[in-house]
Amino acid sequence: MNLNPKSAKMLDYFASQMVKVSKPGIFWLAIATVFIIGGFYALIVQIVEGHIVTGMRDNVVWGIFIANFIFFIGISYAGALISGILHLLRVEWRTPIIRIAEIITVISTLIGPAYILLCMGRLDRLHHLALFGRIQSPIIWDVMAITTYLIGSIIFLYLASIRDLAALRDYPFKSKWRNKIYTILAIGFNGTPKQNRYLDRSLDIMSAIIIPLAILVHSVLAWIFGMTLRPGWHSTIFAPYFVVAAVFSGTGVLIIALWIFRKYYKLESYITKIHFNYLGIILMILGALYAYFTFSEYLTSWYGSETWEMEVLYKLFNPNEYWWWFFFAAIIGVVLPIIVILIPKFRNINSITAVSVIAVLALWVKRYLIIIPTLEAPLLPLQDMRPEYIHYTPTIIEWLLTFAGVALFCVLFFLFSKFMPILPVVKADEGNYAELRKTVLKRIVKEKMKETEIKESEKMKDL
Amino acid sequence: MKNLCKHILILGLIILFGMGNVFAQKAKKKTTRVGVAYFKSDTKIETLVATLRVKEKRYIPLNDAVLTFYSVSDTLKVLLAKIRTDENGQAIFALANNSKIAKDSTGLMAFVVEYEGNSLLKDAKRKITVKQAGLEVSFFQKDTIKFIEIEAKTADPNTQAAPINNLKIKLYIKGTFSLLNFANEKTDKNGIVRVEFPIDMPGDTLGVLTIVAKIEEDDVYGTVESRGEINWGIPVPLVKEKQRGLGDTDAPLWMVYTLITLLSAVWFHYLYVIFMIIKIKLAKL
Repeated sequence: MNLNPKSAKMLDYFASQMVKVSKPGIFWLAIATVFIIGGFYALIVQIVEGHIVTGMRDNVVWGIFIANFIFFIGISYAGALISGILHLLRVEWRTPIIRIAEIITVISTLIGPAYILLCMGRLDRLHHLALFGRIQSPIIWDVMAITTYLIGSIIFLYLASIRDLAALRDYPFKSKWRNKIYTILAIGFNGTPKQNRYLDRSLDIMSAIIIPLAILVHSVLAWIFGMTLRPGWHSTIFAPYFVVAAVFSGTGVLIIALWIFRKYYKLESYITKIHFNYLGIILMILGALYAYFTFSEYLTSWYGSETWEMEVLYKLFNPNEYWWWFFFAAIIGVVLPIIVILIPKFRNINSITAVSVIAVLALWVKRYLIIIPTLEAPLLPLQDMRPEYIHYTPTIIEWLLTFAGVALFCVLFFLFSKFMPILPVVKADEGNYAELRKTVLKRIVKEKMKETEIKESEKMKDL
Repeated sequence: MKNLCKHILILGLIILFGMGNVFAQKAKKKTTRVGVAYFKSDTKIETLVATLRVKEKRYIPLNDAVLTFYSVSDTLKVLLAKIRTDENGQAIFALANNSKIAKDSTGLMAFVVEYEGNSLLKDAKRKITVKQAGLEVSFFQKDTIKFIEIEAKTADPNTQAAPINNLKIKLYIKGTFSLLNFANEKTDKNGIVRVEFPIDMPGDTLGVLTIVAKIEEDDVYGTVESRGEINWGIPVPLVKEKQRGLGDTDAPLWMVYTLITLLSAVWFHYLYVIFMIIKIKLAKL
């Protein structure tokens, strides 16, 4: 079993990219860092001043923090689902997509729940969840589900990275810390038939378990809303609706990530138009499904004419309140991706990415519209209240923390790409890492010799 | 002269319209009606319930109006109480062995309820005469047949109780929300009504049924009610309210088991995969 020279070349390419940061990379990293610092400042202000610095009040108790939470958890599920399904079905074109999808899963599952913590008034009582948590509460289900899911995603990502970690271990990096970490993480993997068998079995198990887990976990998140008797939330289709919306937005994020890394690392030969087309078609199908659920949900509410439900619907359809947001989230963000991807003339890498950006933004707005209008339609009529108690407006602190979360997501993604190849390099049927090491060493020796030759010829010229 | 005529004309018009207004007000005075009924409950509380209505398109209850209750005899008219009507136009006066209430030699009580009226409403009054009566409900079984026996007697505390014959008695079974009428009989010469007990009626968990015997709106005795309880009905097992456990300290068992099963299934696979990772480490060359 010889190592594929193509893989060795690819690893070599990535390894050389991993140890340096280009000028555009530094520029974007600096911008992201500014946002993160801004978020850190906002966090301190919120801790010192309390939740009064946010737009959340007695009536509207959840704001954009919860919208961000659902958004991040949503895209994480898409990553798990896509990578799990593609792995199980052994889809040929999965290779360039699968690692990015797995990274999206882990990073967004780490960032999403942080917004819940930002929402909590008494963080010092966080441990009460474990001590006094009631199994009957969907919030406890969510805590258990997300924790389990995060651990599963990390295991899945790790398993899928072992072959590349072993290859990186054998790669002659200059920095010792890299070699040390790769040696620890590679756990002595050498691609022996036994090791390959164990690894493949583990990957199959994890990819099989991560799919129902992702569906279940996002359903649990939907049930936090669906189990309450609030207009706009109390719906039996909320769980599948959330799952479809999550995969829809997650696929959008995946396409955007592919486009960025393709550009940044110049991976045009690995990430081709086919990948964008296939993911675009998935996005289109999910968009149609999402549109169907949206129509079904609002038609049922409207037809029932239940007073509370109508109050929320009037808010959504009122041009002075949320109509334009709703129009963007439910119509533009769905119809536009479908049209662009459906018509072959419009379908190209840039257009697919552009409509993905629109779909992702629309789905963020949709999460906002799920939370705020419902909370602005209280169960008991409010009288003589201050406007900010009835209408929610996010404050600068909330926006800073929101942008910081997005920036942190990008930075972590970038840092991960500096630690691991962003695409899987070593395939399952490869395993001769000594051969890889030899190939790489040969190239380095060749380069050195070439350099020496050039220097000598220059010296000779000088003489 | 011309001016004088003018002033006289204006004055005449004022008087004409002013008087017209007075007449109009008099003409607008609405008719009122007082109704009085006597009730004697199962707990032997006697009340006079007076209802005041005003005629609009039809008679509707008039609230917040004062009704005056009098006890009357051939020679006397004694004020008993002045009571304001409630939102149903009702004013309720409890007799409660009031010493002011006059009775004739036969035990007949006479009451007058008056409404004084005002500038918009006409006055009204109503007289009612009542004799005190009592009903006794008892149960007995003859061979296999079960009976209810109702005994109607006069109930004047000053005279000896006498049976009331030919008095219409209505029998009901008390339901959750209303009374179910199952017999209407007249008392015999001993003042007694015997009715076969309806054995096919569902009772409470012990089969207890409440039988209500009533003299209803009788011209002499008013409305008198008496009740009796017996466990001759069909026992109906108590429908236990299903505890969902969501508001309890302990979660429903199915939820606990489902959660444990799901989490165990997932975590078992995690542990198995971790075990495989260890095996990968051990299987190195």
